[in-house]
Amino acid sequence: MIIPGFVISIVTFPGVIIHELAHQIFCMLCGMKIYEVKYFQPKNPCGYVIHEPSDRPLHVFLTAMGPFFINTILGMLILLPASIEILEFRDYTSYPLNLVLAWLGISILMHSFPSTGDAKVMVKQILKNPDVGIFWKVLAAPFVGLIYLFSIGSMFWLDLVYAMAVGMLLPNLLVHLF
Amino acid sequence: METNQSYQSLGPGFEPENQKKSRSIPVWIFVFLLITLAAVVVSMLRFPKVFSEYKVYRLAEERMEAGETSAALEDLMEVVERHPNSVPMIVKLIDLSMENGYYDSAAYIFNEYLVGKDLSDSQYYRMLDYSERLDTYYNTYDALDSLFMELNETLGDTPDEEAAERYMEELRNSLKDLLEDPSQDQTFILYYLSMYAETRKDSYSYIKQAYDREPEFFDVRVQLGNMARGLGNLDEAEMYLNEALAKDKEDSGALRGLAIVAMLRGDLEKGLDLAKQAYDLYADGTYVRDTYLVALHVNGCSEEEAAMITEIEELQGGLEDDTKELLADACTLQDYYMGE
Repeated sequence: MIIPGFVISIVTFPGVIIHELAHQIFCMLCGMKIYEVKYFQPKNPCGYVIHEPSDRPLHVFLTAMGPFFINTILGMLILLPASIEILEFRDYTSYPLNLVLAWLGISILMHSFPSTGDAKVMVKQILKNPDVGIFWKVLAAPFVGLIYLFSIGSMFWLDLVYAMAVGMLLPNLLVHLF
Repeated sequence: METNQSYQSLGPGFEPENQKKSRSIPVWIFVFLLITLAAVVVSMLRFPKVFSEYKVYRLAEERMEAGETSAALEDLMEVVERHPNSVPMIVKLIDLSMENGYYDSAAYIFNEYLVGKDLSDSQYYRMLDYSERLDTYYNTYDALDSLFMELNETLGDTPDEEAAERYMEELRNSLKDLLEDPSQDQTFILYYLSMYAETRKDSYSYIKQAYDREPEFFDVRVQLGNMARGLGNLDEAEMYLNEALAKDKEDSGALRGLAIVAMLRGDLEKGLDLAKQAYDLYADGTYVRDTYLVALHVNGCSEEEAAMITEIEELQGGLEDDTKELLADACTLQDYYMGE
């Protein structure tokens, strides 16, 4: 089913806000100036952060990948109990707030992956930068690949698949760990 | 850093409006963040309970394979009671109850929780099969109930020995008649026939047939083990009782049976240990107190023995005659547990 990206973004707007906020927070943590932030707008792109560049690979990596870590962790924490009750127990009525929590968690998880713009920055500042050591290149390369994969995959709902996978697989994993 | 060298999260095409000062986080975003964090707190406060319920649901089969059948089913029942609309959980509980011969529980869940729920085709046909099985089971249950009521009425309130014998004979004949009826639950009838059979050999034969038909039915393994022991086949008895214990390591009947086997083999200490385990798990189980008393007696634990006699007298009205004989050393353990 093809639904325009901005429509999905409107429905999942909390994820967009958290995504941009994560970029901004990591910029602040890395001491980088932020020039402009758009947390959400009902058009493409639905949010962005414009900040000063950095030649430190750690800062580039963190500011680009921040949303992946923040959105995944926040979305996971919010979604976990609701996903167990809704997806595993198929119980939609025991706790009415579950549907809200599931929507919020899935929205946040669906916007975990940075944009291809962030990937391009990592390619330029890390992968193609001769001054950056091999460690950072090896660390950044799979994330760049994942960003592109998810960018293409989002046309086939891969962002939703990721959110559902976190909601369904994580409880299974935790059951066997604890 | 030059302005034109700055970059943005979305790549080229977005010119910054003001590059002199760094943007701070606006108040409404803080409010939004607080709401999101409140959602995290709400979720995390609920998580331990929901996760423990999920563990019960997810690990039920594994626990049963590890010999925690009754505990796993009890826990799952508690979770179903908290989630009465959870079809996967209700279906799983019925599946596991039926597979393990807990027909009464399965019927209760059917009536209490499953009726009116939407099922998938495969679930629907499986439940239909269970329903037919339960119908047969309860038909027999009702047939046995009326049989006992009828015979009790015939026997009257003060039966003499001859009347009691006649009662038993009639009961056996009626049960055999029921066994001929294909619409009845054959395993159920065989189980009852074994309880009222004339000789231990017949009892063993009926219960063995019941076991061969449906090994998960009630406590058929424990009964078979006890009847094999009654015939002096201790190895066979031990095999069936261990099988019952593998299904449910908290089966007080199986532990009691194994305690007797151990004592008959001369391992009195092990017998006492097993009898105590059975007593601690379910003191009200059939002959569990009596077996513990016997184990205490043969191990020379006189104080505990006296306390147990008092407990039995208070709760069960008194000791059985043959138990009194054993405690008075008027018969041996072999006579007590294996004699006719």
